[in-house]
Amino acid sequence: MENAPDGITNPQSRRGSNMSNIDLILSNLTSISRVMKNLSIRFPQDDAADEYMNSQFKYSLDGGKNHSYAKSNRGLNLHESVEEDYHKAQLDASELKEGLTNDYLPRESHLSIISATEVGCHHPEISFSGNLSVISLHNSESICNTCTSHFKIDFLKGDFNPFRCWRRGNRAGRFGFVYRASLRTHGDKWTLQKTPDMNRISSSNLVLASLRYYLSANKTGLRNVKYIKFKKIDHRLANTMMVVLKISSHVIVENDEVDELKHLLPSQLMVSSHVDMLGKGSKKINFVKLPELLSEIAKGVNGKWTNNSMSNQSNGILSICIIHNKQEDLVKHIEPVLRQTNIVNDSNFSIVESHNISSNVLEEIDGNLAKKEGVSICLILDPIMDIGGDYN
Amino acid sequence: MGRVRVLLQKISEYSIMIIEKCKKFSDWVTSFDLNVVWLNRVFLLLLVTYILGGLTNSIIGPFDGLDVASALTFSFISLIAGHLVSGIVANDSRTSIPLFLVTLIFYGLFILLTVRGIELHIWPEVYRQLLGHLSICLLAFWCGIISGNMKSPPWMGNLLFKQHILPVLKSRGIKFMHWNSDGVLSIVEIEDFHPIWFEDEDMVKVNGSQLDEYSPVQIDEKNGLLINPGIKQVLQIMSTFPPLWTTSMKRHFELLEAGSERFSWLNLLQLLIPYKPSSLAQDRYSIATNAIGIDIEGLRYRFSWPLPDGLNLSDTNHHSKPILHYFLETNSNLSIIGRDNKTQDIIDIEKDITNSLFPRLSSKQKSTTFLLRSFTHLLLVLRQEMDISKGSRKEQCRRSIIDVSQYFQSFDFMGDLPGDNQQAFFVSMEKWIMWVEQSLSQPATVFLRLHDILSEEINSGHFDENTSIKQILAGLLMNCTNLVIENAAFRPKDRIENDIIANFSTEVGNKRTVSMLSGIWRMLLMASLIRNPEEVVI
Repeated sequence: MENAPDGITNPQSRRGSNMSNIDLILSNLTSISRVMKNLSIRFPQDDAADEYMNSQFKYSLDGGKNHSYAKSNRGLNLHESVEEDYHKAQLDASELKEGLTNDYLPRESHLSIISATEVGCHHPEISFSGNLSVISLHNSESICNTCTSHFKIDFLKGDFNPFRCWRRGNRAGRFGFVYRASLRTHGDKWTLQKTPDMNRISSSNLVLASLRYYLSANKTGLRNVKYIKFKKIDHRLANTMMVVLKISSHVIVENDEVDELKHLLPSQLMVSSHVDMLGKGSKKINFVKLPELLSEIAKGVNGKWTNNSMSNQSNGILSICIIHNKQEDLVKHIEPVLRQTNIVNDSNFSIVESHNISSNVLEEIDGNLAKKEGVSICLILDPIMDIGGDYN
Repeated sequence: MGRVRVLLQKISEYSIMIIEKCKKFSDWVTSFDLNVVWLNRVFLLLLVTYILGGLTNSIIGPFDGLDVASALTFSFISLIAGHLVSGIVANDSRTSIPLFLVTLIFYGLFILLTVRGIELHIWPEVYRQLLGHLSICLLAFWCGIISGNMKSPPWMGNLLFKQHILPVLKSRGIKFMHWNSDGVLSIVEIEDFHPIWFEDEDMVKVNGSQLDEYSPVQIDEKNGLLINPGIKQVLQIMSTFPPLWTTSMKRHFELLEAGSERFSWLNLLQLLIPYKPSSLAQDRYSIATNAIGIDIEGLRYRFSWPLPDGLNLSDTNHHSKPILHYFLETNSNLSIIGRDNKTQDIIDIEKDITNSLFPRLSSKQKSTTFLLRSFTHLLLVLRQEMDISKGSRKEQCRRSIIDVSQYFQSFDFMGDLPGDNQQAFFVSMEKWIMWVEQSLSQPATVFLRLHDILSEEINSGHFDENTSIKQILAGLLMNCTNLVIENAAFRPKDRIENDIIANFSTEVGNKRTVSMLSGIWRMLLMASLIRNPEEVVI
C-alpha cells in the first residue's frame, strides 16, 4: 500500500476507469514527493544552502559527534594540578560554547540556531516576529503557512515561483518538476493516455534518475514507469512544481458541436432525431464527464499534495491556470467546475491563451498548443520542503 | 686414583672433541656438491684413450690416411654440437637411446677391430675413411656431451624422485592436480606423471608444463570427491630420506611447494573471490575447511584449499596489472606474441566467470570483466588489512568484505552497466591500497566526495543519455545514504543505559563506520566503471 493514494479523494468513491486515471497520477505524485524528500537530505533547495547541507550531511555521517566537546574532554588530565585543571576546564567550556555555535546540537541539527532571515524568509510579518529560528518555521502554526497568500503566481509574466526562501524558492532548480498527463476519450469515457509520449515528467536529472529508480524498485511504480517519459526540465520551470492535464485537441474539435447540441436540447425539452443520427454516425463522447473528471483529479492532486512527504505544511495546489488555443467553448465548460472545487481563490485562477506564454515554457507544458487547438490545465503545486529532509 | 680420574677426564674431552670433528667432517662431506659429471668425463676419456691409443695402433685402423684438416673440422663441429645438446641427451631418452645404440655399434666395431674380427685393410678406401670420420665425429660428439651440463644433483634428484617418491605417493593414494596457465584444472595419475629435468632452465617439467603448475592432492572419495592439498604428506615423505637425497631433490620440492602456494592464490582469485566472496571474511581455518564445487573432466569435485600463507601485496610487480593475470602468467615462459595470446586466454577465463555470475549482463562483458578485477583487488586489500589490523579496524574490514560481496553478487539484477562501447576501467591493487587507507582513516570525507562525484555524473548531460546508468547511480546514492543515516541515528539515552550489550558505543560507532565504508566501496566500484580511477580524487 506504499503508493496507495490518500487525501481528499477516496478511491472507493471513484468508479471505473476514472479511478485508475486518478490513481496513476496520484501514485506518481506520491513517488515524486517521496523521492524529493529523500534527496532533500543530501541536496539543498537553494544554492546558498550548499554549505549548510554539506555540514549537515557530514554531521549525520559522523554520527552527530560534537568535535569541540570531544576535544574538551580529551584535554582534561586528572593528574595535573587542580589549578591547571580549573583553568583548562574554563578554556574548554569556552571552546565548547564556541563549538556549539559552529557545530550542532545532537539530534537537533543547527536549524534552531540560525534565523529565518538567513534562509531567505521574506514573509511580510518576518520583521515583527523577532528573532525567529528556522526550526520554528517548521511548526504547523508558523508563518510559512500564510506565505502563499501574500505572493501570487503570474503565468503571463512567467513568474511561476514568487518565493525566495530556502523552503519554497527552490532556486537551485533541483526539485522543480512538470508532470504532464494527457486525457482522451475511450468509448464514452475519458481516460488517461497510457503512452510515454502523453505522460511526461520533466525535472532535473537528479530527480528523474532517483524517481526512475524508486518506481522500478516497487511493484506499483514498475507498472507505472512504462507509461512515463522522463525529460530534463527547461531551466525556466526548474523551480516550479506543476501538474499539467492536457486535453487532446482533435477530439474536442470533432465532437464539440454535437455534444453541445445534445446537452442543450434536453434542457429546452426538445428532441431531435437528426442529432441522434449524427451521434450514432460519429464517435460517441460523453463530454459532460470531462469537467467532472478534471475536477476530481484537481481535488485528488490537491489532497495528495497537501499531505505530501516533503513537508506537512504544504498548501496543496497554489494556483490553477487554463491555457488554451482557440478553445474558448471548452474552457467555458471546464472553468466553472474547476472554480467550484474551491481549491484556489479567484485571484489564483487564471485563463491564458497559449500565444501569451513564452514558447519555451509552452513547449514544456504542452508543445502542441502553439500549433494546434487544445486545452491544458496547469495545477501549480506548493513547492514547500522541509530543510534537511528527514533530520527534522 | 686422582691421576686415573684426570686421565679419564682428558680422554673423555678428547673423545668429545674428536667426535665433534668427525661430525663436522661428515657434515662437510654431506654438504659437498659432488659433481658426478666429472667422474663420467674421466671414465669416458680413459676408456677412449685405452681403446683407441692402446689397441688400434697395431692394425690398419680406420684413421689411417685420413685428411687431418677435414677430420679436425668435423670433429670440432661434432664437439660443439654435442656440447649444446648435452642437457637434452642426458635427460631425454628419446634422444639418448638412439645415440646409445649408435655408440654401441661403434663399440662393437672397434672391439672387433681390436681382436682383428674385421679385416679393415680389404675395405675400399672410401668406406674406411668414412668409418674413420664417423668414429671421430662420434667421439667428438661424446666429448661435447660430457663437457656440457650433462648431469647434476637435480638430474639425479629427478631420477630419485621418479623411482622413490612417486611410488610412495601412489601407495598413499596421492595424485597430482594440474592448474595450467589457462586456468584449466585436471587430475593427473601418478602413472602419467613423468617429470623431466631441464638443466639449462633449472626446471622440472611434466608433459611440457613446469612442475610448479602441479600440486599433490588427496582425493577423499567417501566425502564427495573432496580435494585436499597433499603437500604436507610429500614433505613428510621427503623428511624420511637421507640428506644427500633430499639435497638432490631440493629443486623438486621447492617447485612443489611453490605450486601449492600458487594453487592457494589461484583458488582465491579464480574460485573463492568470484563465487564465494563473503567467505573471505572468515578466519583462515574456516576457509581452509570450506569446499567449493568444481568440474574436472566431467566430474564434480569439492575443492578445499587454504589461503596463501601471507597476502603480501607489497610486491609492485602485480600492482598495475590484474592479479589473476599475474599469477597465471608468471609461470609461462613465453615470447611477447605468446604472452599476448596467453593474456587473451586469461581474459577468456574472466569472461567465463562473469558470464556465469552475471548472465543478465552478458552483453556487457568488458564492463563485468573490469568490475570483477576491481572487486578482486578490493577484496584482497581488505583481507590483507583484516589480517594485519586489530580491534575496530579489523572488524570494519571484515564487515566490509561481507557487504561488498553481497553488493557484487547483486550486480546481475541491476539490469544495466556502462556499455562496452564506452571506455571502461578497473581499479589496480595500488589504487585500492591507497583508497582503502584513506577510507578507513576518513570515511565521512571520502563518502561525501564520492557522493558529489556521482551526483555530478547524474546531473551531467541530458537525461536521455544513459538513462539506466543514471538511474542505477541514483539508486546507489539513495541506498548508501539511507543506510548511513539509519545507522547514524541516535538511540534514546534510556535505551542505551538499559542495553545489556557491553561496549555498546563501540558497536554503534562500528556500525555507522561500516555503513559508510560499504557505501564507499559500492560507489568506488561504480565510479570505476564510468571514470578513469586516476581521475577519481578522494
